[in-house]
Amino acid sequence: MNRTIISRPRPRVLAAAAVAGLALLPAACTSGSQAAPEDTAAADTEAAALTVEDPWAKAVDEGMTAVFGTLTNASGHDVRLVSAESEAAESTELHVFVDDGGTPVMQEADGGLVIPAGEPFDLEPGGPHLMLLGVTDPLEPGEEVTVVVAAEDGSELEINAPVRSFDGANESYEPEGAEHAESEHGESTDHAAHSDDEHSGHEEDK
Amino acid sequence: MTGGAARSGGTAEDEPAGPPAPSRRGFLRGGATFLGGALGGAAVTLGGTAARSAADTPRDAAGTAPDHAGRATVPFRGPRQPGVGTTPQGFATLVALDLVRGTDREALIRLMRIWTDDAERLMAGRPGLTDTEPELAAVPARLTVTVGYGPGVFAAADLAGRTPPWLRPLPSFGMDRLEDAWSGGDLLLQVCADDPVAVSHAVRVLVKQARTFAVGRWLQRGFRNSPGTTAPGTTWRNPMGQVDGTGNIDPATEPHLVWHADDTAGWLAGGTSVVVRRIAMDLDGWDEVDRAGRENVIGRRLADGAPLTGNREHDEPDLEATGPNGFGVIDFAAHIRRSRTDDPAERFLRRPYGYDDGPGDTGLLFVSYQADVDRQFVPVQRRLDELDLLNEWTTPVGSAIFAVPPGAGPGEYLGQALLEG
Repeated sequence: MNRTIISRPRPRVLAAAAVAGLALLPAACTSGSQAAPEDTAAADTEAAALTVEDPWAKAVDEGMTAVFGTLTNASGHDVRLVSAESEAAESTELHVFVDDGGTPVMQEADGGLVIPAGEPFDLEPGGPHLMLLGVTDPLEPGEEVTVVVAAEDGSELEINAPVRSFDGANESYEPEGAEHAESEHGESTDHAAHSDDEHSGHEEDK
Repeated sequence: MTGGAARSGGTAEDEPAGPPAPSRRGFLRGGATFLGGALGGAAVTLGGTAARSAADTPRDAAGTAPDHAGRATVPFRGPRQPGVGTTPQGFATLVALDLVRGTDREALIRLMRIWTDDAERLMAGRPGLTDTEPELAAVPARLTVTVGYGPGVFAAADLAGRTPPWLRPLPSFGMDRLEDAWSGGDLLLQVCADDPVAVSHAVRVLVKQARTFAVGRWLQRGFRNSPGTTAPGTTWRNPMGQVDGTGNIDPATEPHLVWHADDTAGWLAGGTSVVVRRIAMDLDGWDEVDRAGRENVIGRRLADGAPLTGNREHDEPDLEATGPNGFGVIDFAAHIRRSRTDDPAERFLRRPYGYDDGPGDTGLLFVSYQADVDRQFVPVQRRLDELDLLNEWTTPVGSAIFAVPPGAGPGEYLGQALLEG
């Protein structure tokens, strides 16, 4: 399930991203309306140097989810990814985990994600990832979701990520979501259910 | 335990049709070829989990790495599914699942894409796509994953018209004491390997990824001998101590008995069927039978599996031979007499495993593959149901039947010819 990334100049319409099929690199590089010099210029577009292995996305009915995979940068110099978008989500962000007083907290990556030259860069649960926010149509296991990532120079990469059931990657995003995530654990919920007194104050808050 | 006419030799379709095994021969000659070929280069390097340096592994005088059994792989891609013609591995888990409401053809296609992808990865010794225990995938040990479809798949996919005519519950037999807990199912996963860790991990990955589509119905684990513990070609012994499988067919030399041909079978071309029967053995009752009695039940010697009329395991039984009193040397109700017919079509590939779920719960996980259940399997089963000395100590308690779709070619998913054809 290796997925190829397509590089193309920014002005091009992204309609193709909606197609869930395989992205075929040779065809994408040589066909269509792209200018002939594109190929020779490819070495200068940062995104062209990236490939992704084993991308996947966590299935979700709605709301937030994430896309993972392993990026490799063959350019010989670092590539900075600055944005991402997907038709499956209202917005898409580049995320990292930071240490918030001993608790790993997810947040949008300041200054994007730097993909170092020559070594695999893992997008993985508990690590950097592509965050889909405002998913409205369910992403069902066995489907593919397409995310287009843009590098600093405007070049783009298309990632077709198979969707899979996954119980991990439950970290919440919003600052207030840290509490929310905790309450999602069954144990905490049970505890709350059996401790009405202790939690009555919270009930009143609502 | 059932079986057709005698044919010497065990199952020998060692490496299934399709691309040659990338690993075994190259690996046995030396490390470098194996590492690059079997593990697929970049994917593994990037995954960073499965690759182990073959060059670092010490070898014995014959150049064989001590963990060669763990490294061996069976190709996933090909016109036929693996795990059928593959020489039986040491360990098997069979899982039947039932489709959940709402799993339609579109959903089945998604599930088959998932299973195809993960089966291919795991059989190559690589983690599943979302593998939460990727290290457990590093020892494939000839792992195979075989997928079967019960009648429910055809109904759910709105393809009832394509259900093979033989895909229905077997006729009820007088000796059956079938329990729902071991019978039926919409989907079958047969997962086999020469290492139980590989089997366990693959089952978990595949069942976990199917959870929005199907729920477990039954799970049965079986065992044979571990690799390296018996000489190649040795016929297996079942938990009753009997040499079991002497008369098995060789799917490589008689493929028509197992596989549907390419030109007439439509979506089933390259496919087959599998019958799974849980056969409880009354080992305590068997204890009461002396050795001569035990040999009489089967018609073979316990020591070497030779027919009572012969000297070696693969000697043809002489069903006409009589003893001093005029009775047949091979009893008129002996298992090998009753299980064979004059019809050469009434034979099939047996791929059984023993099971042992505690005292009083031991038996045979009977697994057979045949192109046509009604034509090949049922007539033999009827004969055994009518008369077979062995029935005194064996009781079928579970029964299930599945169509086995063809293998997945490059870029295909399992079942594509059915679900999209």
